[in-house]
Amino acid sequence: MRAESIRSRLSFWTGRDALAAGLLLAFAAGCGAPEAEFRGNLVYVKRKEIEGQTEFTKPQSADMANILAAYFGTPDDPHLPKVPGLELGPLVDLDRVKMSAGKVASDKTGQPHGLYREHCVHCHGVTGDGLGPTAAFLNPYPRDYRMGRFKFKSTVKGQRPTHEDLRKILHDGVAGTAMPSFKVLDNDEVESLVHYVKYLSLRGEVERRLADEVVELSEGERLVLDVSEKDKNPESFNGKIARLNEIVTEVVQPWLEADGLAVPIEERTAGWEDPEAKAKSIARGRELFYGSIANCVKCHGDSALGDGQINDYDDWTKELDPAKPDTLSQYLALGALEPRNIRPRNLRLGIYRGGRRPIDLYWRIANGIDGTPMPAVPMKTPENEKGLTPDDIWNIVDYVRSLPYESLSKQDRQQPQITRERL
Amino acid sequence: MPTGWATLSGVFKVVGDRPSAAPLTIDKDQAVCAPGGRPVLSQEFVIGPDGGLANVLVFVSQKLPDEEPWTHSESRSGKSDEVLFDQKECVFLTRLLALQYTQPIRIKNSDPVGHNTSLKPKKNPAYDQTIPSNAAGLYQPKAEEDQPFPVACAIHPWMKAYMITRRNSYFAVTKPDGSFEIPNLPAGVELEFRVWQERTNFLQEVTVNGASEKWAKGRFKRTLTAGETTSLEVQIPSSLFQ
Repeated sequence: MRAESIRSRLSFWTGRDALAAGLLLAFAAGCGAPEAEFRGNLVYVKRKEIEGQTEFTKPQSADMANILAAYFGTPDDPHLPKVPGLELGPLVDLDRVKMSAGKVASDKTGQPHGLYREHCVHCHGVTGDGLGPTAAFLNPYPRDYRMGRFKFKSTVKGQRPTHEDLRKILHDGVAGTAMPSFKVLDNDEVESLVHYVKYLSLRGEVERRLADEVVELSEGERLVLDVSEKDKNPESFNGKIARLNEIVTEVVQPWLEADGLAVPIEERTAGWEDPEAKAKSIARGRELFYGSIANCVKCHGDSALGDGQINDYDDWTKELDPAKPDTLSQYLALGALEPRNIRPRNLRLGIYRGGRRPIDLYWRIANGIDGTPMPAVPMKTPENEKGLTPDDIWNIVDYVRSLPYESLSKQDRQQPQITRERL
Repeated sequence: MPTGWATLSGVFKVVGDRPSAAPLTIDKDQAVCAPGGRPVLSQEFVIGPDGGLANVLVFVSQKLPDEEPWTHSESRSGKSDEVLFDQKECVFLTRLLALQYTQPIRIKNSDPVGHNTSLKPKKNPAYDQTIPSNAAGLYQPKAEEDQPFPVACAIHPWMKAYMITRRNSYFAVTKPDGSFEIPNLPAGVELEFRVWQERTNFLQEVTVNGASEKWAKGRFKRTLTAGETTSLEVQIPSSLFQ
């Protein structure tokens, strides 16, 4: 009797009961959820295929994915590219990146992990592609970091943002959009997220450059050779690695330079706060706004309502060639978001996405807005008489800031007032 | 090793039914951009009366050492004379501008209205500035590009042009009659050329001197003979422009 009962207990651990028990244990431990993975930039690859009238072969696509994994790691285990001569140090700090990476958790000292997944992923996506689950429902769409272009910054259009620019976006949010302010987070946490955004942006830019390289390869050629080729064909193997390192350096270089390129603001000539001086400044600003040097009305419209130019697109949408329905449908099938026109800002609302401080508006006008059709204004130089001085730009800033208070900007009540007739 | 210097010349012609250029929608500053209400046609392809195709870019795509005997002293890098890029009647006067990346570009506006000229290169810094009427801006490229990049105007969105910056002077843009010439090329070695046109992108299947050739991604190879001019008569089917 006793031997039988022991045997029957042992037999539980074999056969299908064991399988069921094993699965139960597995789910209980949380092994059922798939691991987060970076998604490839399928839309850009498709665009390159169409442009180059070619197709990426399976080995070439696999090469791209392997190279990116080798340089940047995975969402749970990130690392930074090790390129000889390239110092990523202060630009992107691996410890800070690791704090934002991985699953949402906190360790026994209370330090949080997985900040990006906690705060950002639902809009910006695991890959930073602006294709998170909520993205399709938002207007404007969340930023796709992979082009390395950011709209609201202190550097001139075409340059990368400074660390401070990105930190400001996280700290203040973007008014008039779904991007909230994260000022309630610890300073360390915000810093960590800024580093993670840069990490994702660098990774995205390198991916695009790799796709550019693949299109230029001759038939059958690959981006990188198997490790087995290292001894058989060292020149070719090392040459390819050198080229890849060159690409990463070319991507990182503008970021390294950006911190020194914030456009310095000259102090205004004194006395502008005086009401009379301010009125003069606003009048001068209006003159410039309608004038032919700044040309503001051409896009922002005669009433500054943003109706001067309504058919243009931002750079992220232009990549989808919205005017060509055949290729557009292919991009949409790969997950791209429906193209929308970009409208010049309605300046009568008093909502300024990049910040409402006078200095923020100065930067938008002086630098242009990257990724959009908004240009920089020409500055007066000894060679270029027809330019604006910094004071001129302040005049325009004063005018723009006065617009929401004009009677034309007054917005009617949306609901009729319910009044009761008094007897 | 190169054995001397040679010239590559030729002409690009479109054969077949003549494609017609599409009219552009002029929705701003009509008084300046469509004077007299006349239709403005797209310059995506400009075909002369003999079928000559203008604005085709031919350039040496491989990296050559910058000194003799590979690169002629007159074609090497380092040119610094300014290049003019002008716009009038809301049309960029140079449809495809090719230059060395050491040369500064003077972006001029000869119209009575303001333009904003936006350059979107891949390897160079972007440029997007309002250019007031009868004023000019200056752009200094910094690097070599592998293919032409677009130039646009946000105020007049139908305006289009292209630019490419190269290291040496081994490039040419076809004239209105479709002809081009690149002198002082290293002879006796195999050179790789690339051909680009705005509408067709990198040309793939063409007829050269009567024989059909397949140019993978616009590339073709030629070895030139020293002291001689190699002439290519390239025919492109008009179906590519429909």
